[in-house]
Amino acid sequence: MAHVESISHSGINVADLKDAEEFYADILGAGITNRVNFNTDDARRGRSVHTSVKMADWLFALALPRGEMPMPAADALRGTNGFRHGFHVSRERFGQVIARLRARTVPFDGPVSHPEKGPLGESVYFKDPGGNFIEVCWRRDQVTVTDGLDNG
Amino acid sequence: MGYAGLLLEVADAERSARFYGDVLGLKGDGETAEGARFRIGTSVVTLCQRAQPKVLPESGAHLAFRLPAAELDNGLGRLAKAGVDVHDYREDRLVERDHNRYFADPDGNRLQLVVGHSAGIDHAAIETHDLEWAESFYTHVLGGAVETRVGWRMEDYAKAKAWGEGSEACAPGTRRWDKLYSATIDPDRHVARPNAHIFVTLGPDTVVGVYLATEHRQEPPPDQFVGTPRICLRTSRLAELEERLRDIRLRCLQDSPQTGGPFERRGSALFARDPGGNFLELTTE
Repeated sequence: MAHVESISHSGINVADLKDAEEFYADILGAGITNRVNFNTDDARRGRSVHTSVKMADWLFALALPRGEMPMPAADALRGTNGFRHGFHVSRERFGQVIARLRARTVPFDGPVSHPEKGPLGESVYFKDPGGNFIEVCWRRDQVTVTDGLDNG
Repeated sequence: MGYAGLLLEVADAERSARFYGDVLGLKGDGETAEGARFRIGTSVVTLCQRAQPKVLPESGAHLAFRLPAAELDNGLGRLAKAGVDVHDYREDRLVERDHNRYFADPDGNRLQLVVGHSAGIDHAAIETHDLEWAESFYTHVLGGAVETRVGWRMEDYAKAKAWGEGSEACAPGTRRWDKLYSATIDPDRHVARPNAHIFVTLGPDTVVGVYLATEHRQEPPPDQFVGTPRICLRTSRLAELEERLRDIRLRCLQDSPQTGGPFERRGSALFARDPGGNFLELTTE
């Protein structure tokens, strides 16, 4: 068995690239790495239409799907629409995420407290503008690696 | 900022003068060193004779004239009488949905008539090899604002799919067939996609469309600042624009030895080129 060592990147289908770029940058501090298929070389190569963003040390492709994407119920804040991405932050940054959600009037569920003997402290659940479920949590059991990293 | 004029390239100046004057109904406005000039509203169209005019009929490039409703009907009548094919397309841009008529001049320059409150140049659409550079130039340097964006949304894909299935007629340059990135696995697979483009508002009734080029085309030499086809923009803030051209350093633009900035000066006008090699003239007149 070949054991994978880490996640290289993850693709997230979004309904509107500009909205998604702005959302992930403002709420989660994503840094835009590059936009693909807005120049002639990319078009001729048939590359997918996406924006690569970096969060901490991980790369995410915010991609336009070629077909319609199923959308979850408007009032569903916690669940999966095929998948859910979970991000962890320090306890201090956890508060900042909630403040940003409130400032943008993004509906969210939480903060939800986890059992004291478990690894997770609290989580907050919400969706991006494309209906992708997101969880942000802080962990009791480790100092997050995001501290001090520059996403740009 | 407003349209002072457009300079088009044509192969036969006399033939084109008959088309723009007699068929399209533009008023003759004399000869300039660059060619015969016609007036529409407060703007002019100059026909520059070239052995091989730069015309891009299959791209998104086109020039749109705005006419009041009554004049539009007269214009369409003259086009029909002259045997010019006129097309209606499904438009992405909201203000063009109800009234848009596309046709070509004798050289294949694609033209459009739209309805408006007064006669004039409604918009010029050009193409570029890099939309991000183009957006930076037309917004940050020239001070425009993106009015319409096509190709960034899932619904744009759905419309492209409908076009690919033959259920929607769309203007050239707005949709395209892409081979898939995985074409080495299945070289015959293609997908219908929106061809990304933006419309940028530069001032009242002054809009520029910028379409992604689907092929690489020969651009003018990087040190050439004056040429045709050319968009001429009238502005009361020429000194401010000159300062912005100097201060906002887009690394895709080359400086001129004449000015030390990415533009040259002829009289009181500034001549520049956008990141796609499209010529611009900025003038106070």
